[in-house]
Amino acid sequence: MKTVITGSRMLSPYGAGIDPAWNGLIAGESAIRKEEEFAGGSFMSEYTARVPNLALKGRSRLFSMVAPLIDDMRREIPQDSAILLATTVGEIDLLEKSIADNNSDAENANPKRLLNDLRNIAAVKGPGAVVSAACASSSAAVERAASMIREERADSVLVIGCDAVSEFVFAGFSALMALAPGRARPFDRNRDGLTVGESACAALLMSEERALSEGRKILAEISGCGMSSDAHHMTAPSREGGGLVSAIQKALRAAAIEPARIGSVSAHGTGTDYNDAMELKAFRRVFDDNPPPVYSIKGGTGHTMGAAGLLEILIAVESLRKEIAPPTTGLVDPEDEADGMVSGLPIETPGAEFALSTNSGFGGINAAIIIKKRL
Amino acid sequence: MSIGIASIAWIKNDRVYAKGVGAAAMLGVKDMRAPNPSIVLFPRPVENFGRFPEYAKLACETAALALKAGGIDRATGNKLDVAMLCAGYENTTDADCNFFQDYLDCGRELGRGALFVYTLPTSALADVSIALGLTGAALYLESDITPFAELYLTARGMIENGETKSALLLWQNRQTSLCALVDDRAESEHYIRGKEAGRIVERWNDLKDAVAYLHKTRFSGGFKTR
Repeated sequence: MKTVITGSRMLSPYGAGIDPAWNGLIAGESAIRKEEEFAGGSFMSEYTARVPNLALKGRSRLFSMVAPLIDDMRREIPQDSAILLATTVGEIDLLEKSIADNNSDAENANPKRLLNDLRNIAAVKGPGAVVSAACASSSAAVERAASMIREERADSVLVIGCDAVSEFVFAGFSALMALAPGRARPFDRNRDGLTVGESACAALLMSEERALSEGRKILAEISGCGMSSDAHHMTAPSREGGGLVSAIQKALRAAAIEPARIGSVSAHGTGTDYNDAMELKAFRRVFDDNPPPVYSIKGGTGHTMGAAGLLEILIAVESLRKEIAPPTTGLVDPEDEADGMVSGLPIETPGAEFALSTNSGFGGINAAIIIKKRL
Repeated sequence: MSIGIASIAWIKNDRVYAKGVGAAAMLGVKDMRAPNPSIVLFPRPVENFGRFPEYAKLACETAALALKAGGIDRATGNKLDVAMLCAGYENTTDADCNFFQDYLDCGRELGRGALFVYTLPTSALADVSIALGLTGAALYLESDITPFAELYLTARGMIENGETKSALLLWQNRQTSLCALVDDRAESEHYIRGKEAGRIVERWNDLKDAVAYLHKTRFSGGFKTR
């Protein structure tokens, strides 16, 4: 049973919708700005990538981002859809407030509460679950949705990926010395860390059969997925990239294609020393001497944590449709291993039929999603 | 292919229970951390184990017990492609509170990385993966209605689809750590088979009831007593 994407919404540091994000990324413009609320002091960085002009109408920043998105999409979503919510820390600002106010409301930050509210907004009655796999959370949710459709446990699944900029996460990555003092520069020789970003994205995944029978526009197909663990270290990836290679190979087997058919790769590309080095090694191992264009959007969007996978998949769909891979924003001087793979300019990909999107996270989690062009 | 639960391990307070296709039932008091434990769980000493939060230690111990009771020997230390799925958010909430409270206590200037890395729902799974050398998919997946049953159905699907040969299902709250090994091995007295296996485990509200049930009954997709 093939899984196809029939609808989507995006809220990113470039604004509402896919067009502002795509246009900004293609132009090589970064949406990373100086942080107004809590940077400076002992933190490593003064920069984040926040959604601009966000109207804070809900109980939390994340709710204010994701609830209107789902409400806007409601009419497209069949009532019998399943719903998967991907996030790393959910409405963590509720927990921050609970601790600061010394009350016992920390349980309100449990993502199941947000799942329930989004289920009501979307008016769906199918099974629901919170999915979390560190920074590969929404890729994992897409993989789960495709599996549910293949196993005929559902034929329509609403996948939501979201995380908001928070003092909690900013302080955490600062403590790990993982933040770039300036803007993140994925794959650059002088890269020095990641930038925390935020996003909320949603995609309606369906069986191809149902999508066609309902006359829905098919944006793309999820043709292969793979996940793995490095079993190496809590925060650092395995240096040789074996775990990511395994995830990519699983996805290729599931899609029944050879690596040469991949037209472009949307990498995790956080801008940290170890992650980017690991990914480049992994891509060399998979693609040998003939790698496709590789890019990272995190120099533009920041690292959007639990939303990263879905945000990057939707940009990759756009990339397939327009037959052009966006530049790696922030890249000035590619490191040696990136030579021939990564560029600070857009790269045309005429005739590209498949794109690969990869994400990796704490604990050595790896996810690989292969997207097939349908439009 | 006949997929089901090959072994289950629990730790609740200081009581340990493990039973499966690969071992006689183990029931007793937790002594795995004693100088000469009756059961050796890990292929090699787990680096920094003493500094793990308690729930992460329990996750590693129950996962290791489930593998052992399922007849999977980790003594060689080679990496193994076993998927890992988990549910239960209470310990994550506590870890989140610990990190942020500590950050506030330090004057909102600097957090502690060693606490931050435990603020994800998959943090304990990461420790399991590293301690036991498991390289399969790892994710937190919490159904809003049937947490353990959802883990089980997901694992079944992964095995049927050839994504993995086996999966560990970890379900934790503040008091209990439970881990089941799901794979496609042949029928056994201790083997809970069928699509309802997840719901069977979920129906046990009390460890004592579960122990009694496993001792006395044979399963075949439903409740049958010998």
